[in-house]
Amino acid sequence: MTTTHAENHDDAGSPDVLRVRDLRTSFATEDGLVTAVDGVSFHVARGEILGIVGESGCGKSVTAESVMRLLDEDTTDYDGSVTFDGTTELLELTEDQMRPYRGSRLGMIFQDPMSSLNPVYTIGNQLIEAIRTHTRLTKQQAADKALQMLQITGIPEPELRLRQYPHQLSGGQRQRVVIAMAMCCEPDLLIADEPTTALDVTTQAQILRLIDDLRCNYDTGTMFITHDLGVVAEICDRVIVMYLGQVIEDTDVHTLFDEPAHPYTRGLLASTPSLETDNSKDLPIIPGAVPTLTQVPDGCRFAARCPFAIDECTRATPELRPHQRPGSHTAAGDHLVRCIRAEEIPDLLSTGDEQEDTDD
Amino acid sequence: MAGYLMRRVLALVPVLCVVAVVTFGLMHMMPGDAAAVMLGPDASEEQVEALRESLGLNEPLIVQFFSWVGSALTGDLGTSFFIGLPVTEVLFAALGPTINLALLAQVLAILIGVPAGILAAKRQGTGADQAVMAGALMGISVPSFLLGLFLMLIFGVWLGWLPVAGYVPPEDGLADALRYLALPAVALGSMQAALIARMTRTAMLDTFSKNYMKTAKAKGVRARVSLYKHALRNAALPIITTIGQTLGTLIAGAAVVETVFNIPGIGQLVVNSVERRDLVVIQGVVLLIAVAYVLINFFVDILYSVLDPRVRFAGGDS
Repeated sequence: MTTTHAENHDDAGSPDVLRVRDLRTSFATEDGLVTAVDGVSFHVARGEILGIVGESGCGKSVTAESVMRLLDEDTTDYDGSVTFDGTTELLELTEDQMRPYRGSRLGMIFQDPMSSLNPVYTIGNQLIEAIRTHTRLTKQQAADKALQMLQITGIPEPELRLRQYPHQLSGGQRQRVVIAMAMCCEPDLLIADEPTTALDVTTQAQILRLIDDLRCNYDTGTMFITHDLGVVAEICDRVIVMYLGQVIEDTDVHTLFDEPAHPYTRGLLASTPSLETDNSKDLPIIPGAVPTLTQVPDGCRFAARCPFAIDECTRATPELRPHQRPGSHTAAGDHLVRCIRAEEIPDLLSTGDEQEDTDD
Repeated sequence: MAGYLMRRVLALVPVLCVVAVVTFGLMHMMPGDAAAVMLGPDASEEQVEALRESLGLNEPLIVQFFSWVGSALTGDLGTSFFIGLPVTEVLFAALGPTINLALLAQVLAILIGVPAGILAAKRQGTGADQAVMAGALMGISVPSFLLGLFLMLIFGVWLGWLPVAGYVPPEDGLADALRYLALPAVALGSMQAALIARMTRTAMLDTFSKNYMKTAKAKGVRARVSLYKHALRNAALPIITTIGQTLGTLIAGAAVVETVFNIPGIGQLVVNSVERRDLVVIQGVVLLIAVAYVLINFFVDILYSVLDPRVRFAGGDS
């Protein structure tokens, strides 16, 4: 395992462990073809945590499952390119070629630790299965490795956990098991799909620290999917914001919080409570709801809910383009935005009375 | 595990008490006098009185009950007035053929139903799925006696491959016994197979949508391993429930099939005893079937705990 990793480090021309270009994932449904992910591009470097942010139904989980090719391929159609480790085109692999990547070089943590472990097998059984699927270790060696992984996750009494069944563990403990399972073959890319959503705040912080530690120790590239901007601020290096199957903003985490360019990102940030929030006022909300994928509007997909929308917004779909903001400390090209008025908005906000995105 | 077993065994006691009371009550719930009913309208006053005396019907009810339970516990269920043999002996003679028939039917049903259900679930919505479901619908709809008659006609009469009717005990040659039991077992087991196939399909489809199946795939587990290790083991619980519950109806169905194929089992014994109004034997059969039901459910419960750790640890002893 480790030798091949090292070789790939040397060979890889690009430092990116994952490059996704123009990914399009569509499902055949009774209402016709639904494109849940529509032209998504991003890249994850080794040791980097990329946040993928958006509301429910924006396509972030489908993006993750497309990279792992977990969707039912009888009804799913992939298009575009998912390049792993600079060389392997994951979407072109057959199922038999794809399978060895899952769980060994691509690890995944799911949202709900309550249901992502099989209730009828012990923790040890499930961890050993993950290890033995990809290595030639004996049962005993795999059990030792499983124990070692559990120790790394900081679960209390790891020896006991190996013999226990999922229902005997707490939610946080189960999520540690799922993380141990995802990390047991030391993957190059870890995909965490809302790993802390189902957990309480204290456990959430511990799990975040664990994921951060693992990224440092194993140099793992991480796709961190969440709808929680607080979590993004805490752990991510770069962020892409998704809306209705498209990336609408792509930047580093500091720029995202300091100088959000897209009106949707601004709305998300404004509707997040913080310690400075004045509790006597209601939090601003983004009016309207996400349209369904069967009724994708023409032009900008956010226009109907956008306080800055003009006629031109609904005419053509805006491109994801470099954001040019005079005085910005971000180099052009590192901050991408899908909005034709992104540069005008700060001026609009400072001249108009500041209620513009809170009323109606 | 031991604690769980103890609790399950203790839970049997009240159920068996109810069974005893109801079975005993059978004799006394009849309108009129049990002895008179057994002897029919032509019997004389003296004959009825003599039978009442020999059945102990003149004792107080509570004394009768305890003496009946006492003898039942020692294996004495009374003597059949008509056959002149102890009821226990009659029951055991009839039990062999019925158990052999029911077991063979059950095994056939599982061997056909479970793989068919898995296939249908794996190929949901395809021709294979529809074929299995259509077959299951037929299996549920066609009554066993009708199917039995058709099988008898096709394989026994037209093709002459198998005997038309009758019974050979396995002690007299296993091959012969199977030849005689084949058609009745198929007739009896077809509905079982259909029910099991349907339940297997539903249960498998249910597990396919579970998150742990996605986890297994994300771990890189082969689809085949995933299907048998992760899905089937979880789907086994509802499938076993179905098997346990329908094993009871299988015993009832055996009565009909035994009559069609002329097999000297419990079914025939019931039919004959009812015709003779042989209440003592009927009482024995009812007791036997009720106890069998209770025991089958007991074993299904134990199987649950073997298959599902959540059941095993439910008592709080982690």
